[in-house]
Parts: sequence; C-alpha cells; structure tokens
Amino acid sequence: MQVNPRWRQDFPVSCDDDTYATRREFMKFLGLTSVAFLVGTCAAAARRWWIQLRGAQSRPIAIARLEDIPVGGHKLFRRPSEDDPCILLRLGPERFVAFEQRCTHLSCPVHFNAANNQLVCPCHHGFFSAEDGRPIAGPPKRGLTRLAISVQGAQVWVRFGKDEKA
Amino acid sequence: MNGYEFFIDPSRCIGCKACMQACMECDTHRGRSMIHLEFVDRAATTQTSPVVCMHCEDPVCAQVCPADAIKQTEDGIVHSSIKARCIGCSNCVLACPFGVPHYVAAIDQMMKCDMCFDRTSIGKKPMCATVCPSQALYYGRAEDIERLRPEQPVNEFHFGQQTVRTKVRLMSAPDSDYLDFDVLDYMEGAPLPICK
Repeated sequence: MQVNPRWRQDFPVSCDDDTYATRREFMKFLGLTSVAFLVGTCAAAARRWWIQLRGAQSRPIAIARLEDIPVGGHKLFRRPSEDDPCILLRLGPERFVAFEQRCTHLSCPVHFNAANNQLVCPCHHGFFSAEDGRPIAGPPKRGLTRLAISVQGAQVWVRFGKDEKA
Repeated sequence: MNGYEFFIDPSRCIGCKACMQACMECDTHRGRSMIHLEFVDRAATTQTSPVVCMHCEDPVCAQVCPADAIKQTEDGIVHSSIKARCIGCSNCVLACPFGVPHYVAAIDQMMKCDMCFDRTSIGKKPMCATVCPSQALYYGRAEDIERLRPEQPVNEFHFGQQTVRTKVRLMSAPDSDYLDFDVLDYMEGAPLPICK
C-alpha cells in the first residue's frame, strides 16, 4: 500500500480534503486577519498624526492677495502637495476660510455656491456649510477638513494642518 | 449515486459519434466534446472505441499535477482542472494511461470527462450514455448488465508494473479479472495485441 508523502497532506487529491479547514487553521486565519487590521489601523492613525505634526511645524505660505478674491469669490490651490486640492473662500471683507476640496464621501472635488453659502459636491449631491465645513445634506457624514489661515498685510496665509478652531 | 455505474463495451461501438455530439451539448463545456473515439487499427478495421475518463481510484493525472488543479470528489469522480489553478503544463495528458485529458490551447486549460457531474450528481445519466444507440456506453446497475450481457466488467488494469483501478468498468472477456497491457505491444513494429 502506497503511503502518501507529507506534502500530499497539504495538496490532497480529494476535493473534501482540499476545502477542509481545521479549527486551528481557522483560528490562525482569524488571528492573523485581526492583527493585519490592527496594524493597518495603527499605520493609518500614525500617518495622519505625522501629517498634522508636520503641518503644525511648517511655516505659513501666502496663497492669495486680498484684491485677487472678491467677496463671495474663491481660489483653488494645491498644498502641501500637488495631490491635495484645497479651496479658499472669501465670505466677507475680512472673513476667509479654507478647506480641503475633497468631499468626505468619495473624494470628489467640492465647488463653492456663493448664493447659498454652501460647498456642493456634484457627484452625489453632498452639501457642506461654507462657514465651517460641516455636512448639511447628502451622503457625507464628516465635515470638510478646515485649514488654518490668517490674513497678514495684503495677503492670505495658510499653515497646513487641521485648524484647531474647526 | 443510485447504485448506478458506468460501463464501456468497445466491441459494441459502431462509430456513429452520437456520444460526441451529445457531449458537446453539455452546458458545462458547451461546444466541446470531452469524449472521443479511437480507431483500434484504422488500416485493418473500421472498429472504433469510445474513450471517456475511467475515473481512477488513485488518479494519475491528479498525482502528477504540479498545480494541484485536478480534484476527486467523494463519489470517485475526477474532475476537469480547476481553471484558476491549471497552468496548462499537460503533465496529466502525458501521464494518463487511457489518453483522456485534453489540453485546450485556446483557454490554456486541461479539460476532461467528468461523467457529466452536473447530471449524475442529481441522478441523471451522462449525456453520452443516454444517446449511445448500441449501448456501448451504458450507465446502470451492475446486476442489470451482468444479467443482460455475457461479458465481464473489469475495472483493474495493469500497465507494466502499474496497477490502476477505476470507477468506470470495461466490458471484457468472461472470467477476466483484470486487463494486462504492455507498452511494448503498442510500439511501432510490434504485432497487434488484438491479433495475439
């Protein structure tokens, strides 16, 4: 009688043996999957923390001159990298706000509707308040990330990292 | 399933190819026949023999598959290669002593007869056995065929020192328990074993 070699136990010919998962294998799968999720979550949190830390330490950058943006107007810019679209809004003569332009639903770019004082995502009709970026209607549940800006001289300056007032 | 077994009697084959046409109709491999006819000795006779998978108890095709793509279910059916695993190496084609596996280059996959698993698993007969007009392909109970026919069903084959036992039975001479084959008998220049 031929004795199956050890490797044949890992690659059985029988369909039932091939699809059979032992309790130990199942627990190993559960454990490793849980660890993978934990590591992934920690990595995502660490990345976000690092970006905020770097933003807080960065020097402010001038992004617009006051006369470039009329009241009710806006300006698009990309900072800190070319992959990070942002939008600067002028809500009043002395009132400026800036947000990341990515919708918090599925990352479509939001557009400024000055008449309603709202930021609108055209993809799935998400609406955000232009005052503070909070979601008003539609699929988005989280507010837009607000950037810390200041007006100094005749220019608007932005410092990257989340606005602590937001 | 239902105590039914598959029996092949090559001496009854009339070469009509109805089995091949019926096999092509199957939904699981539409348009491609998993059964073929072999000419026994084309120069000397028109006799043909239908070739379906014999479904070995210890399938050689699966044993030599380096990609672990050929599986056998609990009822002894050896299935076509798993598409996601088959690497198209044709090891099984070379290893099978009955010449059953067929490498299909268009899809880079080995395909073979699975005894119409979609049908036999729910109690129906394989397509080829339902249409064979001479009953060379017979799917039924062992006691029925023993009562109806003088031949002896054999499912043990000796290829040199290799012994192969199969799920499908071949109708052979009465009182024969196994069939003995020697590769040398079939090499060029050798006398035909059928004439021995």
